[in-house]
Amino acid sequence: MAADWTHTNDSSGGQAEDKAFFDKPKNVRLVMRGFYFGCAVVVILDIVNLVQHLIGAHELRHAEHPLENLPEFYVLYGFVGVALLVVISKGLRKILMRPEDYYDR
Amino acid sequence: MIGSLPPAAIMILGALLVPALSGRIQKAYILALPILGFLYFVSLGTGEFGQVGIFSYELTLVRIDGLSRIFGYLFHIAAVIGLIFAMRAENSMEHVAALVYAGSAVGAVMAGDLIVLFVFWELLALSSVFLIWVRGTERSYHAGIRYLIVQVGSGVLMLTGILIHYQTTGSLAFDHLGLGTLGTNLIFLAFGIKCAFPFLHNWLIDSYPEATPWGTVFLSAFTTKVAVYALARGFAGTEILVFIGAAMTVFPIFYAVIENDLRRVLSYSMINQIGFMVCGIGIGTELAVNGAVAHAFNDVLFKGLLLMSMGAVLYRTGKVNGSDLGGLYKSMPKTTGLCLIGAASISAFPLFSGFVSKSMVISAAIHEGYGGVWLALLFASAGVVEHAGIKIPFFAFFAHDSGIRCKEAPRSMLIAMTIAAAFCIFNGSFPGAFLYPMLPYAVEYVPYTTAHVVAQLQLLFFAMLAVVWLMSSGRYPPELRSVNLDTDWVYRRLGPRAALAVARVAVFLRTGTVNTVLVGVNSTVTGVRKHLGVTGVMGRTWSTAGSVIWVALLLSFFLILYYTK
Repeated sequence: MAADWTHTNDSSGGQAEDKAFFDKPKNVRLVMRGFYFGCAVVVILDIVNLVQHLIGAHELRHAEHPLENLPEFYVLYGFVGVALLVVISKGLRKILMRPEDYYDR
Repeated sequence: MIGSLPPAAIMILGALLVPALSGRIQKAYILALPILGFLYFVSLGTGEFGQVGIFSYELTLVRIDGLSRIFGYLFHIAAVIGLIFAMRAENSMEHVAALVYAGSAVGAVMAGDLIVLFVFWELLALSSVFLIWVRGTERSYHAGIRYLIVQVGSGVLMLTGILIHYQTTGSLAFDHLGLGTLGTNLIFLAFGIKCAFPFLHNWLIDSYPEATPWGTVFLSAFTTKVAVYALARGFAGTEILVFIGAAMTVFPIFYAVIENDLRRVLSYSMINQIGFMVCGIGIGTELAVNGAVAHAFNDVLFKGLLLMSMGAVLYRTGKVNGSDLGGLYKSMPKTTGLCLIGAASISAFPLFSGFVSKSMVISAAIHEGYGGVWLALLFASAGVVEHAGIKIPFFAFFAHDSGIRCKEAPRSMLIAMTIAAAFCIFNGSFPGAFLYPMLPYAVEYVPYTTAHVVAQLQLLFFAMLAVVWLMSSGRYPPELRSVNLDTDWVYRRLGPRAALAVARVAVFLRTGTVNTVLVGVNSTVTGVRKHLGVTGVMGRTWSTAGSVIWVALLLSFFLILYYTK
């Protein structure tokens, strides 16, 4: 069955084919700029929310949990949460990681 | 007669005819079965059907109500999508196993009492193991055996629980059970094994990634979701589930970061998603149970979509490790796009299905005052973005170019993935059209408020930004060829080693004991022979005269005793 899984590893293909979308640094920069712009927008929305709160106008967000009243709570929680997650997991490798054939030996 | 035939029977009995057919007719027949089953199931409406008397028991084969109906829909849809995806499978035994497996899942969620549930529960285990074994590798064989032991073990626990429950209550009804008696506790444990509770979870991580490209898609759809249904039916509102569920959402995401096999990453991700459902069931309010059930529905489709995209990669390249892949968007652009839809759905981006159902559970946690659990669920949601939203598509289709050039996924696979993707977008963008009316309770939940959308985008964008920052600063852990120790270490390494050690001690003790006993026996035998043997004092033949003297002495002794009294 495995033989049927067609797999052509063509080493000369790299030169023959046109440069793909993400092979051009310009396109990568474009996508990343779009992403950073999105990040900036959601940060600013919380500032708008805070200003509206201070001037007593109708707020964007109705908090269900006291922490949600903290400006940029979700921004901070998402960033710090994932940064910690990855760093801790990387550390866990020291304890948990074994060679690929560990159980086969 | 119509009405006494359970909808599950169409797929299970129909599957037996598959090997007799071949070619296009066989393919058409395979696809027709779940569709026929679905039409028949819809035509039944709600109610109880198929009462059968066995011995003195009255069994109810089919019960369709608000809770089982949506799972009936889900499993038929999943069967159709999975079978389209599996059209390329050459071994028709796989189709037979998949049909029986899907049919068992339908049968289990419609089971009208505990005995019928048990029968389908075991049939799920027996049929699904073939989807692992059919891969034909040494690893898949052993993983299959371990899978079967755990699954059948769950069934045995359940049967024991059912019998004890019947002894104490005289009831076989499968309604709310609740914890507290030995019988229901055992049933709870059996559900927990199939649901992959923490420490009982490793059968899933161990076995699912060892199946064929399509086998894993089937496996991900049925077993755990039957368990979710069973928990929702029997243990809704059981508070310990809130904390079990929260733990399930959190611990697998650490493993998902460092796991190299991308289908194993998705297996950890499954436990994470089931955690949201278990948590919702534990909270037990109408909103929470609705959220759990809706999330089960959506999860089968987006997790199926992600596993199908990885299955297509495995099918075309023979590889599925993050360390071996990269740059496949050039060869498989359609698969890439479909995978990204699955990634957006599981990450709960607004307009995609996960956003609607996951938020129902998270909102319910806040409403009921579970602040700590709410924080855990938010953390887990951000973690999903890391492993399923970014890691899966990034390492397979983008990252560094691995140099692999292959064909786009076959058309049948693309069709299956497209159907799943369509559900992901439709259920996310128009939850009121199909999903809400199917849920067990009336829905008042409004996911699309400005506040909610903004909060979710903030969480997601900055979770992604953290990954981007870690990657660009070189802090992100690279994909490494490795295995990571999990609880299966206990029975795959510690168990065998301990057994070996025990055996060594036993051999030592046995040799010691046997030697001691032998020495003891030897000296006893020598002693016995010395005193009782032919030449021993007690064994000699005495002369008649000597004997008469002894008898005379004895009689004299009695005479003296008699007179002195």
